[in-house]
Order: sequence, then C-alpha cells, then structure tokens
Amino acid sequence: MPPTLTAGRARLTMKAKIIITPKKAVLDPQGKTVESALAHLGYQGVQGVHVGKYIEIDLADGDREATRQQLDDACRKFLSNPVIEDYQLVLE
Amino acid sequence: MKFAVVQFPGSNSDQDCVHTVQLCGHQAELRWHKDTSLGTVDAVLVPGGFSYGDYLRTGAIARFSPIMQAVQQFAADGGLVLGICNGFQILCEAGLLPGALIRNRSLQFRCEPVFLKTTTRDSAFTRAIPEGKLLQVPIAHGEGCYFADAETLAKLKANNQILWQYANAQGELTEDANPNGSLESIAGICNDRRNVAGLMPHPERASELLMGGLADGKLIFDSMIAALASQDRLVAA
Repeated sequence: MPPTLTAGRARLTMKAKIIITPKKAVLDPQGKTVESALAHLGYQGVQGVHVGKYIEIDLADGDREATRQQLDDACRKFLSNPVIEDYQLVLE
Repeated sequence: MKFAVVQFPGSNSDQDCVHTVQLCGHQAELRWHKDTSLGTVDAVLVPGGFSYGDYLRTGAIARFSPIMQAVQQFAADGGLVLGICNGFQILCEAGLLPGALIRNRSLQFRCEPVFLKTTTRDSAFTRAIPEGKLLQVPIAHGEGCYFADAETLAKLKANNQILWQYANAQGELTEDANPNGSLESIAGICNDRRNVAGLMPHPERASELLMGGLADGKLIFDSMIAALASQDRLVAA
C-alpha cells in the first residue's frame, strides 16, 4: 500500500520507539556512576542503573509487519551492536 | 610498497599515517570515504579520529561508507589491513575483527603515553618488534575498553590473536597500567586469518625521534613492510 500523501508529504502515521541498553555482561561505567550518584543524593532502594539510548523514528504509513521486519533488521545491523547491546522495539 | 590510508569525515590521523609510511621509505595515498575502489595497493590503514562525529556508536556509520566495501573485499582476499584507534573501532563494527570497544571504565578521555607488551611476534604486524621489547606509544581515546564475550575471548587466546596488551614499565599486566578497563588488558588484536589487525594506541604518533623522542611505533609499520616484502604467511591457511 503506497503512503498517503498530504500536501506533498507522506502522512506520518507510525512511530518506532527503540530502546538500546548495554548487555548485562558488559561493563557499564555510566550506569555505575549514576547509581552511586543517586545513592549519594539520598535516593534509596536503587538496585542497579543501566544507561542506554532511545531512538524515535517517524514512519510513513505502510504494512506494519514488513515495517517491523525492516526495523528489526536495522536494529541488528546498525542501530545497535549485538556484541555489546540489547534492543527493544515498539511500533506505534 | 603502496599503502592506502582511508579518510573519513572526522579522521584526524590520516596525514600522520601517510607521513609515517613515507618515513619508512614507502608510498601512501589517501582514499576518500566515498571512493568505491582502493586501487592497486599492498596494504590498507584505517586511521584514527572521530569518523562521522562518533554518532550512534564509534565507527558505526563509517563501516557503511562506500570505501569500506572495498576494504572488506581487500581483507577477504588476504590483504593486510591495520586499524588504529577509531580505525580499530570501525573494523570491529564492520565485523572484520571480533569484539567491540566501549566507554573507558574511568569515563575519562585518556591521552597519555602507555607501554605495550607484544603478546606474539607471530603476525605481519609484530614480526619486526624485538623479542621482549616494550613499546612506548601514546593513546588518545574515550572509548577504548575492549570487550568480547567469554567464548570470543577464549578463541582469541587459543588462536594467539592478542597482539598487544597494556603493561607497566616492567612489562607486567597490572590494573593500574590498563588505561581503559579492556578485558585481558587488550590493546590490539588480529583476526583468525592474521591479515587484519587493530589497536587503540597510535603507533603513527610515535614513529619519529624528532616528535618527542618516541619511535617505537615505527616497528609496527616496519613489521607490515617486512611481511609484505617476504610475502610469506601473510594469511594463515
């Protein structure tokens, strides 16, 4: 299905939200530093902090399943590095 | 010999690499990241810097630039490829070397001379380094902490692929001498075919006595040139 055009531009109807976090086995010095800073500031009960990345992608309307497959491919090949990172993909 | 030095937007050691190859009495030519061919060359250097601003991850965007396809092919054909600093990060992202380089354990950008122990002289990148000699070479990186999973690390050790490790002045691999938290104090490795290598320190910045009295880095270039000259065992069977 071709994208719906509004005033010459593709109508944005889908949004991909991608959360990338360091794998548990990978040293995460940022997470450790934030964790100790939280404790230092008096916030209690923090049992672990992992600092990652958040990527939002606006997408033209299209086949959801095909889009998801493409995004998965992009996450594995480019947006995350599977050697050191995990990702979660949400398509809205 | 003719070396190609790949130049990305944000490379900053490209001219130093060219200069060092010329200092060794050989030719070096720059190849722009948009080029699709390396031309006829004997070896490739992927230099240091901050290609594409280190956006997303170090080396993540550079690995998809047109010239990298030619580098992949050159490596697949058994050609010698050395990645320095950001070049090492790019080769890891490209899958030409195993593992990845992540933020330094200290979270600090470290810019200082370090000592390197040459772990094996059995490579085209280390053969001209005298037995037992510690190399003093500078580092300049924020993301040089080498990481690989346990299985990959075991393979690196079993296949003798660790080329250089951070050491103290006595040649001991101590925590204090490890500037970035790299596993096994790894400063540089090669692939299992032994024709592609990468290291975080900058040998090209320590190849001329005039520049601060350090010329140990030149031994790495001398090694590549000696290997190319002899043409024996460039690539493991």
